[in-house]
Formats: sequence, C-alpha cells, structure tokens
Amino acid sequence: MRPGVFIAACASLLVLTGCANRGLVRYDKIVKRATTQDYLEATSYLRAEKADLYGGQSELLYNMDMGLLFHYAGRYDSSIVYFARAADVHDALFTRSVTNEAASLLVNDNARPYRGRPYEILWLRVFQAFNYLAVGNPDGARVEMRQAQLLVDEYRRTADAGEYRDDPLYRGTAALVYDLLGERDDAAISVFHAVKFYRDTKAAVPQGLATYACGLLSAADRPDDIRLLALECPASALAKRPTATESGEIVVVGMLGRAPAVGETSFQGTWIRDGLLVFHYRDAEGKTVTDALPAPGLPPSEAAKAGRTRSGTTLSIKWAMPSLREVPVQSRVLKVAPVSGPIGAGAQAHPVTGEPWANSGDLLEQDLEANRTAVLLRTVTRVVVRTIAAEKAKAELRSDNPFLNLITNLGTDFLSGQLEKADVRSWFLLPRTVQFARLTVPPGRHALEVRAEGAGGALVLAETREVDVRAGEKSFVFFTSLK
Amino acid sequence: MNRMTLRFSGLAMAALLISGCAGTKVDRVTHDSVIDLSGRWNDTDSRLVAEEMLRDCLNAPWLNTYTAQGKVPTVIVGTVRNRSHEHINAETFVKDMERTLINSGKVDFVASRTERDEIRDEKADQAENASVETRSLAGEESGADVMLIGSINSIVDKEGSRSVVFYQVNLELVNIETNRKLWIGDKKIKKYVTRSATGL
Repeated sequence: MRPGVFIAACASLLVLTGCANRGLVRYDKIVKRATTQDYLEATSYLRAEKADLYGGQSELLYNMDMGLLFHYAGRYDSSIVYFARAADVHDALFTRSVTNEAASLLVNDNARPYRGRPYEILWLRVFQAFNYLAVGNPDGARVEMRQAQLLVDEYRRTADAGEYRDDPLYRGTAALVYDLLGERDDAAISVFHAVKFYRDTKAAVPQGLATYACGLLSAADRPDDIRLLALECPASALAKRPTATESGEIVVVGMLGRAPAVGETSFQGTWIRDGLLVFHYRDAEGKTVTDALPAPGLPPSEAAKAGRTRSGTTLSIKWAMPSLREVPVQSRVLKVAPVSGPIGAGAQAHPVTGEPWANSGDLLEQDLEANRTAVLLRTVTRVVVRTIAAEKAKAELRSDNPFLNLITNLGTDFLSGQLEKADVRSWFLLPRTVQFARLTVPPGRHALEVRAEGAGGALVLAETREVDVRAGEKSFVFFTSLK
Repeated sequence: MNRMTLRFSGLAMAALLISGCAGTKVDRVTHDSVIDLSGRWNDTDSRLVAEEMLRDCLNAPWLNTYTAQGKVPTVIVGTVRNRSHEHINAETFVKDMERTLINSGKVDFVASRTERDEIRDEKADQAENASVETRSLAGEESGADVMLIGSINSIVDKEGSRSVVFYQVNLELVNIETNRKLWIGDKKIKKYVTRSATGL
C-alpha cells in the first residue's frame, strides 16, 4: 500500500467512524435518563439523537432500546411495534455482508451491524410476550414463545458446552403463557426444562418455580418427570388445582436493577523486534498495569530488507478488547403485598417475595467469555494488518529530516491507533434480574403494593397497582426499578 | 486523464455498484399475483385458504339440510385462534369467506360479539336520541344457527439457513343449539425456505 493511500484511508475512516467510541457515548447518555425512571423522556431523546448515538450499524439495538423503554413506561402497544421491528431487523441480518466483515478487519468490529447476543435475542421474544400479556393478547404471547423455541433449538444445535443454550426465564415464561392458555402439556414441558436448566447447571432451583413445576407436572400426569427432576413436592402443590370459579392468579413480573454494560480495555504496547511485547492497560479498577509477553522476533532477512539493524527497532501498537463493565445495583428484592381486594377462596394476605428466574449480568459475562477467542483473533488480524501498513507508510515517507520523520511517525501511529475501538455494543437497558411473584387470589379488583428493596430491606421504589382478576385466569403486572 | 483521476473514478463506480443507485421503487401488481419475499405467511396463503375453504364449505352436505327445509342458515364467526409461530391476521381470510358466502345467497351472517357490542351501543343511543319512526328496536336481533370457529397451526423444522414450514388452518361449523359439528375443513400449506448466509 502506498503511504499516501494508507494515511488518506485512515483519515477518512476516522472521519466516518468518529474519534469517540459511539457505544461508550451511548451508554453515558442513555443510562442517566433511564435511571430517573422517566422512560418516555428517554425515548424522545433516543429518537432525536438516533443518528449520533447508534449510527448506521445498530438499527437492531435502537429498536430493542426503544421497545424496552416503552415497555418500562407501560406503553405496551408502542413497545410491540419497536420489538417487532427489532425482530425483523434481526431476521434480515441472517445474511452476513462480506463487505462489512472485510471492513471490520481493517477498521474495527463496530463496522459490522450489531446482531445482538444470543440471550438478548431470546429475551427480545420474552419481553415481547410480556407486552402481549399486558395488552390481554395471550395468543400473541404464544407466538413469541414459539419463536423463542425456534431460537433455543438453533442455539442447542450450534452452541458448544458452556455456551448459552437454554434459558430459565424463557422456559418459565413459556410455562406461564401455556398455562394461561390451558395448554397443559406445553406448560408442563416448559416448566420441566426450566427446572432442568437449574439441575444441569448445578444451581439451586428457585422454590416458587419448583412448586409451580410440581403443580403443572402433576396436573399433566407426569409423575416420572417429577422424579427425574428430583423435585420434593409439598402435598399442597400436588393437590387438585382450584377450579376456574374459585380463584385467579396475579403474576407480578419485576425488572430490577440495571444490567452491566460492556466497557473497553485499551492496550498500548511496544513490540521490540527482538521478541518482546511490552504493553500497558487500565484494569477494571482503573489502575494502569504494565506487563510483558514474549512475541515473535523479526527474522534477520526481514530486518535487512527494511534497511535497519535487527536489534533495537520497535513498533508502537494499540488494540482494544471488550470487557465487562459492572454497575451498582440497588434494587435487589421484589416484594408484593396485597393492600385491598375481595376475600375468598385462595386469598393470600401476606406479602410475597419475588424470586429471580434470570440474571442478565451472568449471561453477559458468559457471552463475553464465549466470544473472547473469536474477538481476539479478529483483533490480532486487524492490528497486524494495520501495523504492517503503517510501517510501510512510515518507511516510504522517511526523509533526511529527523524532525519531519518524527512528526510523520507520530501522525501515522496516531491515525492507526485512533481506529482501534472495541465493540462495546450491548443491550445495557435490560434489567439485572427478572423476578416473579405469584399470588393466588379470589376474582375481583385487587390493589397491591409492589416494592423494590435493596440490601437490608431498604426501600428503593414502591408503587401501588390495581389489577382485575378473573376466575381461572392470570393477570400480569409489570414493575420496573432500574436503580 | 491522469492515473489519480482514473483511480478515483474506479472507486466511485465501485461504490455506486455496491450501494446501488436507486432509492425506493414501487411497481403496481395484480392483487392475486404470487410474491414470496420472506417465506412467512402472506396474502397468497390467506387467499388460498379462503378459496379452498369456501369451495369445500359450499359443497358440503350441511347446507342441503337447511335448503331442503327452505331455510337460509345464519352463521356467526367465532374465534379463529392463532396457534402458529407467526403473528397472523385470520380476519383476512375469514372476511373473504364471509363476503363470498353472503354474496352466494346461501347463508346469512350476523355480527360477531365485538361488532354486536358496538351496534348495541348505537341502538341504546338511538333509543334516547333517534325519532320513533327511524329507531331500531332492541330485542329484534337475528340469532345465529351455526358458528364458525377454527385455528391456525404450524410446524417448523429449521436448520441453519434452511427451514420447512407447515401451516394447517382448521375451520369448523358448529350447530349452536346441538353442539353438533356440521362441517370441518382444513387447508395445508407447506413451504421450503432457504436463505443465503452471505451477501455483498
């Protein structure tokens, strides 16, 4: 590559991609607004600043963010529209553009369209199902659960052990949806897989989920499944379920805390051609760390070609990797207390504590870990290609003026280094945990106090909700506390 | 023309080819032309279901039992449940069927539950505000003899870029008085969908 072409290409790409990492800017600007709980204001801001915050390669993320903010704001119809668009965009991204993939090897991973992490795409379906449940369209929720099933089938077919292959949030939600629709077998199969997930991962099964599984599996006449899952079912869970005229159920779905985000760890290094890479980076606590790694040395023939001595020549390189960016979470526990309502069969007067069926922090960490090798491979390829081109450019531009050479070298390294940005895009507006609290109540209008509590029972947010319950049916209440 | 200008022109041509030079382009097509874009349920599927179901429904013996008595059966459309994996608007083919059945003169239709609520609201309003001569009276509605109910089901087999999608639409006419099923119709559609994994 001719030196002028390399420098011009770097400069144009820099103008196109911008100096700052758009993903980091987006995080700083959106999170402040979302945590004030004024979700509608946040949607107006996103709509107005879409081009700057998302660019042309994050259409999926934009629609997911908008859909989620509308869901948090209780505008379920608008949320349905944006989530449906997000699903369409994701579908269209099945075909990978060779141009984008090649560009990412020269520029950075942000040149590729955002395809979403597997758990984000599955949760997109789950949240869309929540929307349909909120607007009283259980058939719509079933469609989303069936789409989610197709995704999980594909994940199970392609994912390696230890990667994301199944999800208790999806399975548990599917069980609730099928149960609501009276489809006992599907509900039983879904709850079976929800419990099996915990058994397979050696994690404790949430007590409420276990009891629910006992009830559904027993109602579907599947005692073998109860044994297979080693469920210890209380007699009350195995008893005949209340008839349609006796009681209904309120399911409170709490979205608590904020998901962690993806940050950028930038490494700056000096490659000493004798075979050493000395590099510096800031760790998660912000401390600068210096380390060294053995690196391949330049063969004497190559050094001779470059017209320099083998010893003492160095190369400046920069690379960036995505890393987990933790955020503080105040909202940890969901509490639901009946305030008023009809007295009757199955009435539950005491507060119910929600239990998390999912933690987005764990899933993001798992995803970053699963993709580390692939990201590293792309990063190394990119850095090598760019460094070779930069060195060629510097060599060709070398003059007899040492000062001019210094300026040229610094300028070339700066341009090359500025292009290196980690792909930090993620659906960071997701809640940290999705918690479920279920109350069996008599039919009629009920008032509930829904609370998000922090450590030691400190109140973070409390809201009073009124909900109508019909006999034999489930009514859903969605509550968000992102702090 | 120097080399730089040539190189620039080449690059500009390539960029134009990659990005395409046209914006939105719209062509009018006939309403019954078959255009499959994504492989999902579309207007062609809806039309095929309506046509096939209608043919079957009008040729079935249930209608003869009414016509033999000199009666025109009154039908009401119940719920057509979507049990498929896609958001499908069943109303499109149900309305197609309804229209053609009414126009055939062999059956009558009455308004569905939600439509009835709106009409009753109007009737209540007329009772207060319309003149006696033009007022529609309450309690004069036609009761339906049979109800049309059904479901849309699907089975998807998918692996990577290939999938087979099978839809089955089931419709049933049920005698409201006796709960006897008078007619059961179904229409099956199977699609093989492949998608390219890479593109420009």
